[in-house]
Amino acid sequence: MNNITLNKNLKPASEVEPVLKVRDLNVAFNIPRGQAKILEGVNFDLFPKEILALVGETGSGKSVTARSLLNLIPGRSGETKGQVLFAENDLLLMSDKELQRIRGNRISMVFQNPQSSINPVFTLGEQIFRLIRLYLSAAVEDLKQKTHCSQKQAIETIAKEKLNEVGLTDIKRTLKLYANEISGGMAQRYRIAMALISSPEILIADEATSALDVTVQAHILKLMKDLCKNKQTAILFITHDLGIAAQICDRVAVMYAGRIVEIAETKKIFANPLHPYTKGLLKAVPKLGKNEPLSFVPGIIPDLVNPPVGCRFHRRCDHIMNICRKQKPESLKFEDNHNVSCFLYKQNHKENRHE
Amino acid sequence: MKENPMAMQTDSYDIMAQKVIQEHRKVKWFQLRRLLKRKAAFLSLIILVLALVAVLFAPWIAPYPEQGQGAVNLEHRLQAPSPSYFLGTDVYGRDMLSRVIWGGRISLFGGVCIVFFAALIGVPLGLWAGYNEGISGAVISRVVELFLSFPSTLIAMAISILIGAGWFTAIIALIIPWWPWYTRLVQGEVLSIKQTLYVEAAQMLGYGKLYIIFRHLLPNIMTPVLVMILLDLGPAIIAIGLLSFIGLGTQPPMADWGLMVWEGAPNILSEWWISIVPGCAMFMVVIAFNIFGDALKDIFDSKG
Amino acid sequence: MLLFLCKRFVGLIALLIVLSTLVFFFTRSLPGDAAALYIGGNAKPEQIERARIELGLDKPLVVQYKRYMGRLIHADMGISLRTHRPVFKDLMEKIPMSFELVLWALFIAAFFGVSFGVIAAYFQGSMIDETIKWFTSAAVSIPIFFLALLLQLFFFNYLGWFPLQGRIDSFLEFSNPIQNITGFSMVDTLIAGNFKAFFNVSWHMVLPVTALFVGPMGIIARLTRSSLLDVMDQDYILAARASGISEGVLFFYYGLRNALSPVLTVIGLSVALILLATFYVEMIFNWPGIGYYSLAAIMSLDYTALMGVTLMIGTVYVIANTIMDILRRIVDPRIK
Repeated sequence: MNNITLNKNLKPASEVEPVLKVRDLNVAFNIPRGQAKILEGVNFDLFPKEILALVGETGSGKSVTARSLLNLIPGRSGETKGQVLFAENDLLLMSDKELQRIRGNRISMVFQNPQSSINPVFTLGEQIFRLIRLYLSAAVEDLKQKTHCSQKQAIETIAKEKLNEVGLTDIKRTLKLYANEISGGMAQRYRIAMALISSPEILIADEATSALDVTVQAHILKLMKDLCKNKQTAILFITHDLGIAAQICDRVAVMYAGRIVEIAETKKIFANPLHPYTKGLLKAVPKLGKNEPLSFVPGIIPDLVNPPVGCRFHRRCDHIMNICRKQKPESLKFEDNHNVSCFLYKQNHKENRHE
Repeated sequence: MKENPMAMQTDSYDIMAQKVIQEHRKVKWFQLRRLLKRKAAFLSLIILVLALVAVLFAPWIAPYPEQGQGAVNLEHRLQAPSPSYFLGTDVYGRDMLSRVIWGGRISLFGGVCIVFFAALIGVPLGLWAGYNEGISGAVISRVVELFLSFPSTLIAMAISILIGAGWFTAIIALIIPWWPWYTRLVQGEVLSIKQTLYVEAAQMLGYGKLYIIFRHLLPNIMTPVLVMILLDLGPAIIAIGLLSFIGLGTQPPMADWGLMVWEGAPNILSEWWISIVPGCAMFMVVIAFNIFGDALKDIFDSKG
Repeated sequence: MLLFLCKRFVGLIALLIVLSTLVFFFTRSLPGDAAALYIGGNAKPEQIERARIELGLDKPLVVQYKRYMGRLIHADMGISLRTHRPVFKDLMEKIPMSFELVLWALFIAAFFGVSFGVIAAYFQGSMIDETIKWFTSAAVSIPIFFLALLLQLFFFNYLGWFPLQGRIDSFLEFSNPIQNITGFSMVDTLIAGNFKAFFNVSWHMVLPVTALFVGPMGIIARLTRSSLLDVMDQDYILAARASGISEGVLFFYYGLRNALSPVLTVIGLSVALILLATFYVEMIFNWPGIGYYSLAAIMSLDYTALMGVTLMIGTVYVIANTIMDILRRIVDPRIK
């Protein structure tokens, strides 16, 4: 028992303070049938400059995790418990006014459908100008002093610069366009420019590339990665696509039914998946050149109004033990940077490990 | 889109999600229970039930059933509300309470008829026009647009003038500009459902048009249609009243609520109850339909 | 934009031609003998025959139709069977009187409708929202004729605050008559410096305008609320919120502009509603406008007047919708 510690302080080899600490995050929605426990005890840390992938299937709670960090779950009654520590403050305890100063400024978000997340009745210019006025007023004043131009020209110059960064061309024309007049790829570049305008500490990318064509996807991914490296921005990358996670992320957290079941460095998780669910997911990825039947994780995600007692995965698990039906598995440190929530890896069950 | 083979795992869940959405659009009992928890909706339901009972059992509930049907009672003309004439009497001495109950029969039944037949004509045409984008669908769409591009009540008035005044002709005159609203609603719904996976799957499996329309489309449009029917009952009752008020609808000695308000209008300053009683009845029933329909709509529209 | 206006204008002409044709054949198939109606009461057969020739009713239908359309180009809609005056002249005289009511009602309905809708949406779920919901439910549920009578009963009979009916007090009609300049009595009295009559006319307008605006206001408020709430659920609002834009800007600047397009459509449609309501309101308040005139035409089957009224309503309807379409294009660039 002594070589197993609870996941309270997951740190990579370099001893840096995480920018974001999520502790025991619980989110429940009130729906007509009762209370759906969407998230149950989510814990993770996000370190400066790293890219952390949050992977899981539809309904596993990845998007809810992302949105509840900034209290962006609209129109739902429910409750949120736990701690989201950012710069010594708990975001969950903040008022809307206080949160507003963090949203978009220090923590930005990029969403799944780029076109529908741009306001259709304002030009792209009008929308980015507003953000520049909001976050870069100092830079605008500076530019005004230096070049003796009007406020408007200064803002426009900065907007051009920012849009240039994300690889948009013919910007003068682009600024006059509306959301329905640009392609998905352009729209997502524009959204990324908007999100990174204030050089935030954290960028949350909520399925940011899932709606794009594969070729565009690659460009956008590279862009995001490069920009964030330059601006020292950490990324919380939410995706259902293991391939993308493998390509760009430093660490991967696998979510299942509102819990993080396994979290590790990308290499480790792909080389040595521990949780039965992670194993199943990786097995389900088809391999080129091998003519074997496609494997899948049997069963469906459980009903979150009446979640299974104990481990939420036990009904689909091949390695089910008695304890799985009774107790919730804690997160166990398997080795450095590799934690898993599964009773298989608890010491007294170690004999089951290699089955 | 999701061409990356690594993403295929989740696609099966999209299909499942579709199924869930499909199921959620059906009426569920817990939703109805939720409806009754709303005070306003509950209150309107009580008003509607009371009105319905009064109207159905008019011969037993009305104190003077024959006066309700128009028999005059000249020695008790224009009496203010009193114990024997609970809501007063009109210019012919008829008991207002009985008149309102019998008038409610005509108004309510008329409203139900208009909406029912409008839906009966409009819904199948909407299903057809939404599912077939060929010539027949286009023709239906054009006809619908033509009707909707002019105020319905004016069309009804014109038709009513043409085919003559009367309760029955007024109903016909109102159904004619009313059904296109249902066609448009259903057509829009069908166009969006048609693109969903389960309809496409049914098409690919080779099911016939009619089978898909009745098995897959109809159950999914029932909820919005039912809500619209409920929300239309109030306006339909008002519409008959509007026609009757200018003499194009119900003819005396029968009277619906609209005509009764008209009959009392000349005496409004002295014998106010002759107009106010049927007017209030109309207002209460219409607002009850509206609030109940709104609550129902809210519940069906809300997610989950 | 110019092309759009031209298209609309051609559309309007086409609509008027179709409408006048429809109305022509429609009125010819009405029951009753127009010539007999024209002469009125106890007419001798030879009198009716003379009237028939005078009105051209003895000619074949096609000839009548040609003559009718030919005259229409010169704004000649024939002679009213009821008032025995040219229909066009009647209409020109009545239209301003009604439009005074209609425009006020439209303006008030739009202004308060949108305001109440916005307030209700902003305070969604609160007491304010509930109150507005009840209020607007009542507004759309009350039959127009009942509302008009209630207003008379309460504000004239019970409180005595406003006059019962008419356009101006009869004693003023002799001492300070309204000079006919534009036909809009409020404008006319102001231009002429006839303030006594101005206030009297305004006073008389309060109740009819109230009766007219309540229903459309309820419709506009409800639509504004639901349209706004719909917009506030959209991805782009979430994205804007995530980028730190304040709730006020989000709601009143981003949201409202997006929500306005369907609201403008309904405001355009409520012109027709208000016009229809003038039939009832003008009858009850004895207001000598187009609604009263139309209703009298309906009740006496005065088909020449009916034709004129129908064409007028069609024109107004198209113009109102065109104006609203132009506004929608300004508000929402997606509409092409």
